[in-house]
Amino acid sequence: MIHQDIELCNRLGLHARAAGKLVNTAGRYACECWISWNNRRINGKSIMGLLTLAAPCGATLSIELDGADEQEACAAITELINNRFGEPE
Amino acid sequence: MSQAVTLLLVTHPGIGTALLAQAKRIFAADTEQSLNGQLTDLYVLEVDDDLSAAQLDAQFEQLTANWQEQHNVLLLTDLEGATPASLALRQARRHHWPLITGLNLPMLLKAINYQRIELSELVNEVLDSSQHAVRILQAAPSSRLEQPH
Repeated sequence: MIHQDIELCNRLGLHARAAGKLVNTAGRYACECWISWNNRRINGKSIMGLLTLAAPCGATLSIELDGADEQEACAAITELINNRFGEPE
Repeated sequence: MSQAVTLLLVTHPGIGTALLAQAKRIFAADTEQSLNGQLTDLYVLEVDDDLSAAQLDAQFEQLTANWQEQHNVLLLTDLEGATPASLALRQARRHHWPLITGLNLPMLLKAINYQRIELSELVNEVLDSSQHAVRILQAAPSSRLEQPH
């Protein structure tokens, strides 16, 4: 199992389109993906779970990945978040 | 992973296409990696209530003509008792397809998100998620409740 903390650095935080991209990315991997913030832990492959986190810019998401391809999933999710979900600065 | 469930939105004019457009935007359907190819098998039938029931049935059957042997279909409609829901219910009974009313954006997002799980599971997921999405995020001030009429 991998545990990675990542800070949201895009201006709008985990808004709908960002959540959609995160679901897309997590869904490409077989490993389980759980994301926690503000005392809530949700399935990282669930769009509604991610949206209900309502995590803003600056929030540090705690990401747990568990499965054979957890390393690849972690790299992809980290890249997505650190690239601000493809949004401008 | 199962074959994708075909989703058909049967709605009043403007609602189905608007919801689907927003869902595609959220799932970045303009990119090649859109939800692992799951943004397929999505259809909208917007119902003109000037037409007769027979005409509406004919429209529905034209759209679904190639689905007759398809068992993985979920119908979503907006307002129980209204013309689109009545059409959807007639057809759901005819084809033995599940039908959920109260269509909203959370319901559609969930349905697309889990489009490749078993149909019976999908129905439960969609219903549960869309019901939980309706809740009070900010309560009315208590003083308002206490004001005399």
